[in-house]
Amino acid sequence: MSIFKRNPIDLSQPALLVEHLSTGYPGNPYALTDICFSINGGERVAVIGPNGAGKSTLFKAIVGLLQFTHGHISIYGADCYSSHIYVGYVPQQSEIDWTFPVSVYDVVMMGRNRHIGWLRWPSKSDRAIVNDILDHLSLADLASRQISELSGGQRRRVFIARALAQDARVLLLDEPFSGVDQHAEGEIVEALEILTRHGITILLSTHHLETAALHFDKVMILNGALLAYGPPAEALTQQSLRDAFGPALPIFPHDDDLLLFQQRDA
Amino acid sequence: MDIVSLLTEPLSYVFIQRGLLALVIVGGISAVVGCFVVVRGMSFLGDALAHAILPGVALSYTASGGNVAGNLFLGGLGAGIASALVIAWLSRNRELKEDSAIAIVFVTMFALGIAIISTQSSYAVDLTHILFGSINGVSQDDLLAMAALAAVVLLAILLLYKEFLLVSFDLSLAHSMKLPVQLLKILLLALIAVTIVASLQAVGIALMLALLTTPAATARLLVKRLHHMIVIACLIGTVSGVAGFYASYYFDIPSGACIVLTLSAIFGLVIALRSTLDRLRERGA
Repeated sequence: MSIFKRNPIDLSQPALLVEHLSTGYPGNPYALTDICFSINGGERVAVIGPNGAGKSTLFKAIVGLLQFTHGHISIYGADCYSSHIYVGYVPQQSEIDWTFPVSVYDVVMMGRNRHIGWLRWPSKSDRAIVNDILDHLSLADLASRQISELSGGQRRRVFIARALAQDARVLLLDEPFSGVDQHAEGEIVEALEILTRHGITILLSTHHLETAALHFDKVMILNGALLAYGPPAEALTQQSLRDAFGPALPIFPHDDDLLLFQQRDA
Repeated sequence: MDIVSLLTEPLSYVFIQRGLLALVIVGGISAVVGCFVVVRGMSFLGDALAHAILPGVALSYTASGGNVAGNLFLGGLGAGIASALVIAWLSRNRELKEDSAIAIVFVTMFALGIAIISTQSSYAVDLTHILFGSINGVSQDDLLAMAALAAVVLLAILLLYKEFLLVSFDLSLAHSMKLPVQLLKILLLALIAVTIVASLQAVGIALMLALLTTPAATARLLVKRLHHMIVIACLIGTVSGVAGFYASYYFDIPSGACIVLTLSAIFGLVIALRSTLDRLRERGA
């Protein structure tokens, strides 16, 4: 399909390769230290960690919103400074001005910005691509809605659609499940399935351990440093969670699943 | 007197025709640029920029020997852009909030302007003209300069609309797409400064803010997409320019005050209409 055409990048390389990344921001200069991991194309990775663990910082470094001095990030073999266009970013919901006068269609069209080019307005093909994507994510009926007139699940889908319009190969989602109900969570997971079907790599931060265990290929546990990384059954151990969250472990909605992991681990 | 002659009578003088054209241009472009001011929540910066151009205007004015019809555009533009850059630079200090930086630059420049004008003998009259505008003093050259500045502003917004939209709505995406975010922000400020300078003669410094914010805020109540908002705001701005012109002629009130009161009346009408509709809908539901 035309909307999911491949970009001129080396698909034999890992989708996302982070090597010895150390970075921070004024107020917390050591938010992340010596982070190393690699994600293969099409994989889904959940990032788990307490508040202030550096999840957003990691995303901002990958997407190019934060300068870092130590380490290296590459996307399909290309240095991230030259390949940001391939990285889509769905910011935390609180960072969006929902009263801004833009429709669903307008937001998705923003993803086409660099494809359209300077001093131009969207062409017929850009409009067709955006309409295709809206159809794909069941947003076509909502295209003319102002973005505040959407449910929580719909709002996140709009930003996922924008990343598709951008032709992103790697998509970062910052806490998309926070503040949504069970139904909306289902909607978002469904949208993620569509992305995966098109070979798009997903890195998503969340507090929902259960969702991470059920719907993701790998789980990354982060708290300033990378504490564990691997398939859910290997990464979500009592030890790694205790390392991340301290002795006051969060309450698990489904203890059975986690017990299962712990037994395997033991 | 019938309506046609009521409308045509004032136009028998060329200088009054120029005044009408000036108000239409000014009402239109201020409304267009004002949409970005409103959606980005920069009203205070808009007001500050309008006041900060005073020393530039004052310098051009004293240099031309106290002639209001002299070329005030260049000085005003210089002061406006310089102020915008200083504000942007000061705001990089984390200890200084942006609105404080704006306030300090605004009052400094304004005070400097007053100091410069006060060296002239016709101080009080001159200051009144600059603060509140004097539409009858618009010369042929002024009108041409205003039209040229307006064309530049409209063309820039037409060509860079999608970038300005992106920078206004979602800085993260703009950064991650490697757009020259800082440059675009400064360019938008420069366009606001150009608009203010072009509008100076017609409405003056003190009421400039109304032309930037009221049509845009009114349009936002009526539509929900930025480009629609720009078209509606421009319409409201030009209509108010015309209405303000006639009100000014017949009631002998300064044109700036007339155009602003017209804008406020339209805003009041729209908001009253909306709340009535909302109430009716609630009752119906």
